[in-house]
Amino acid sequence: MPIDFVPSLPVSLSLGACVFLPASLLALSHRPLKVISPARRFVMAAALTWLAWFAAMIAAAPDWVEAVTSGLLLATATLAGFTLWTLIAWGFTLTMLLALNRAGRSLSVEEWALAYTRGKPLDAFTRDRLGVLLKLGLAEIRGGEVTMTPNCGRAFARVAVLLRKLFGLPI
Amino acid sequence: MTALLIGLLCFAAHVGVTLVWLRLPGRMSPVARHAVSALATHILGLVIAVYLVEEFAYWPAAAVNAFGVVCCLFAFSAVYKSVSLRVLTELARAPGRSLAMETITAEHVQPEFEARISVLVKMGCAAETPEGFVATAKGKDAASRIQAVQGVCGINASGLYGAELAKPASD
Repeated sequence: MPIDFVPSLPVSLSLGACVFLPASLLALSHRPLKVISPARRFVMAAALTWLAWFAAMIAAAPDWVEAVTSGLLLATATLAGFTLWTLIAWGFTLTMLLALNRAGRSLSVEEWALAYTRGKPLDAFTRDRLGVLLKLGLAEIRGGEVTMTPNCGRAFARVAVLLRKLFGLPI
Repeated sequence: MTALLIGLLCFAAHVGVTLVWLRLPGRMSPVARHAVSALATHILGLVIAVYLVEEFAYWPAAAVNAFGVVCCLFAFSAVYKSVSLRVLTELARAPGRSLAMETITAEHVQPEFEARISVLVKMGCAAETPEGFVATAKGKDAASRIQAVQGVCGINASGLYGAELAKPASD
């Protein structure tokens, strides 16, 4: 057979680590190991998985191609897991649907927004999303206005605009 | 080494196909286009490689290809849907690179909220009635499935990143 589908030992260990990531995430989602914050929970599960993988790689002593393959497999699982986790925990459209369903009656746009933020004004949602920009140093609050930071913020914004152009999205 | 290169070429083909396909009109969602393109270019790449290369290992090719695809999808999702990044690009366009919180809510977050309502209506998960918006049977079904997944993952969804992020930063 021209393609060898049989994984080597380091690759098998990495595939095991890819399974260990969601398993540890689920273990940390329930008592007695429950980590309350979903963000911290994912970070802990990922850290545990990468530590276990690193220990396994030392034991398996892979050559460089196996090491790159193994690392990329786990990096793929981590990034895919993170994307899914953020969707389940903080997905915008998804949470809007849950809020509408929870209300159990017809809602105007304003009422729907209140149901989404659990009674807070939509400003609360803006502050929440801005919190990410503030925490990453991409924006800051100056004199009551939100201002993009000159270095990090501008660089990130440029990359975002470039990516939108690249993917054919409206700017 | 050859397998890594094959994976890289499969990924390059995926990028080429996706960037063209995303610009073409059609009913298939952008994420589905990414997935179909990734799978098709992976299989096609392997078939071509079988004819050109005598023998190679599957997993190094798969690892490089999968990692590239996930990174590409991650970047696309970030600029396509992220409210935070959208606000950042709006800040970049604003005079003085700054906007008042109220302006961000009124001109960017509120329209984004309404755009997501349109998405839910288009998906058939919500319907507009004379009294307001209601969850349809499909929406209720989707909501209960999402809640089940969140229950398994130990997530009490608020849709907000967290109180520690929601606090406004000091001037």
